[in-house]
Amino acid sequence: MIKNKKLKWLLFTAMAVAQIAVPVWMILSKENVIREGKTYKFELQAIDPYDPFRGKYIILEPKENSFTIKTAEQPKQRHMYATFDEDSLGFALIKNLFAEEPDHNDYLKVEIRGMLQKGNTLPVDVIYPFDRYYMNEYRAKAAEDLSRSVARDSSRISYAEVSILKGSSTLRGVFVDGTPIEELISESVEK
Amino acid sequence: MASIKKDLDDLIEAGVIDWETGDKIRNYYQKQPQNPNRILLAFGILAAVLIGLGIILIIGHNWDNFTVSVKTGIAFLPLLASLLLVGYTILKESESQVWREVGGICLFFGVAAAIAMIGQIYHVEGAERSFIRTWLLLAIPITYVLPSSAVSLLTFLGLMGLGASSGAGWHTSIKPLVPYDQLFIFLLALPHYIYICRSAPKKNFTLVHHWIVTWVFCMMLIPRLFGNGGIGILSILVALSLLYGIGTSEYFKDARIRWNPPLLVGSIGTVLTLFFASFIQYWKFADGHTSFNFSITHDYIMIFLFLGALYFLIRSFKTDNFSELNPLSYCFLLFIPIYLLGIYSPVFAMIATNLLLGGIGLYYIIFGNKKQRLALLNFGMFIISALILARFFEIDLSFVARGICFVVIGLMFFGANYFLINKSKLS
Repeated sequence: MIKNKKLKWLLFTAMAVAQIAVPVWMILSKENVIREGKTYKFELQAIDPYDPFRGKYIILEPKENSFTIKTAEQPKQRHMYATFDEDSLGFALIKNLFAEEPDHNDYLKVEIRGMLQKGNTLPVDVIYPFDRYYMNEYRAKAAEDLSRSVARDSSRISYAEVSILKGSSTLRGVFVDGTPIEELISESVEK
Repeated sequence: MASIKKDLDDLIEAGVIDWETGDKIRNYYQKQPQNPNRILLAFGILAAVLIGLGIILIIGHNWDNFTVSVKTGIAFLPLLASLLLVGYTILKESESQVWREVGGICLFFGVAAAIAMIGQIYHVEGAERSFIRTWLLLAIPITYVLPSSAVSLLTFLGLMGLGASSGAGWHTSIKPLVPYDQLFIFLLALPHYIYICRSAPKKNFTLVHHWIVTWVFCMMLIPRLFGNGGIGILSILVALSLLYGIGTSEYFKDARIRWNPPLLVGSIGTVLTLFFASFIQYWKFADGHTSFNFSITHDYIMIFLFLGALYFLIRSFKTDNFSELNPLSYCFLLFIPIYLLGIYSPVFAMIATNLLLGGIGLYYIIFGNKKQRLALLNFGMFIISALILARFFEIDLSFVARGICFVVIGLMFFGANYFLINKSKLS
C-alpha cells in the first residue's frame, strides 16, 4: 500500500476535492439550468414509490409523451432531442424530435420508450429525465392521493414546472391549479 | 491466553505434559502478536456502519421545512466531518487499523449522504443505479488512500447492489447488455483485494472478501452470459471453470473448503450447469435459438475468461498427474465440441453431456474412495444419482421401474458409505 506520506496526502487531497466537487457540480449544473433555461409546464399524473437512499418521491408522468416522426428519421440510438411549444393554456407540447442536438439552447434530451411504425410515419413514445419529485416522507402518500383525485376531476390540473437548457432539465416544482403541491398538502393536513 | 494458561496448568497437574513442554507452549503463545484492538475494531466498524446508515435514513425523511440553502449546507456536513476525520487519521493515526476502518466507513457514507441529499433537493434524475455508481466511484479511492479493507468490502457489497438495481436477473435477451460500470468498478476495487490476499491471507477481512468477491463475480457475469441465446451455457461453464481453476491454485491449496468459495462455487456450479444441459429440452431449445452474432465486447469477456481457465488448467497439468486431474478443470474444453455439434444434433449433445457429467461423478466416487473422503464419495454418488433420476423422469417409465430405481440408488448410497467407513476404520 501507499507508504509515501506526501503521495498519500496528495491522493487524499485529490479524493477530497473530487468528493466535494461532484455534489457542488450537481448543484451548479441544476442552478444554471434554472438561471439560463426556459421554463415549461408539463401537465401530469403521479404515483408513489420509494427510494432507499434519497427518501420518498412521486413519479411524474407527463401527459405529453409522444410525437410522430417520419420513418426515414428513425434514430439509431436510444435517445432523441425534443423541442417544445406551448398550447393555449400554457402547457408544453412537443414541437419536434431530433436525432442530433439542435444548434440552439432550448431542447431536452429524452429517452425513447418505444416506436411502432405506421406506414411512412413513426410514433415515438418518450421518457423525460425529470421523472422523480422527492417529498417529505409523510407527504408523499398525501401527494399521491391528491394527484389521483385531481386526475378524476376534469376541472383541476396538476403540472410540473421544468427549466430546460441544452438537453438538461431542472424540476422546479409540482403544482395543482397553480398552487405548489406542498402547500395544498399542508392545508389539507391542517384541515 | 488466560484459558490456555489454565488448561496448561491442568494438563501439567494431571501429568499429561511435563513442565518443559508446558513452558515451551506458554512461550510460543507469548511470542504471538497480541491483538487487543480486535473487539474495538469490530464494534467500531459496526458503530460506523450503523451511524452511516442512520444518517442516510434521516436524510430520507426530506426536511422540507428548511430552505434550499440550509438543506444544501446540511448535505455537506457529514462529508466534511468525515473528511476531517480521515485527514486526522492520515496525520496522526495512520498506523491504527481502528481509526482507518472507522474513518473510511464514515467517509464512505458521508459521500452517499451528500449526493443523496443534493439529488433530493434538486430532484436529480436517474434511478438507484446512477446514484450507486456515482457513490462507489467517489468512494473507491478511500480504500487505497487510508487503506481500509472495510471500505473495500462495502464497495463489493455496493457492486452487488448495483447489479440488483440493474435487474441483472435471468433474462432472455439475445444480445446481453454488458455491465460496463460494474466491470469497471470491480476492476478498480480488485487491486486492494489482491493486496490483502497476499499480505494478510488468514485475516477475517480477507476470508470474507473471498466470498463476497466470488459472489459479485458470479452475479455480475453469469446472468449476462446466460442472456446471450444458446451460447450462454458455454460461457457460464468457462466462467465457472475459471473459478474452479482459481480455487485449485497454489494460493487456495491449503485453505479450508469453507474459505475456498471459488472452488465450491466453481465445482457445484459446473455440475449444476452440466445437469441443466443433460436434458434434451435444453438442446432442442438451444438448437432453435443459438446465435453466434454476439457483441464484440461479449467476445472479449468470453476470450478473457477462456484464457484464464486455460491458464489454470495448464498450471494444474504441470503440478498434478494427468490420471489424478479432476475432470472439472478441463470439462469446459470437452464441452466445446459437444456444444457445437449440439446445434445440429440435440440427441448427441444430450448423450455426450450425460456421459461427461457421469464421468465427473465417477471420478469423485473413485477419488473419494482412494483418499477415503466421505464427502467427495457422496458428491460423486449424488451426481450419478441425480443423472439417473432425471433420465428416469424424462423417459416415460412405469411406477414400478421408477420405484426400483429409487431403492437401488438408496442401497448404493448405503453400501458405498458403509464400505468406506469400514475401510477407514481398518486402516
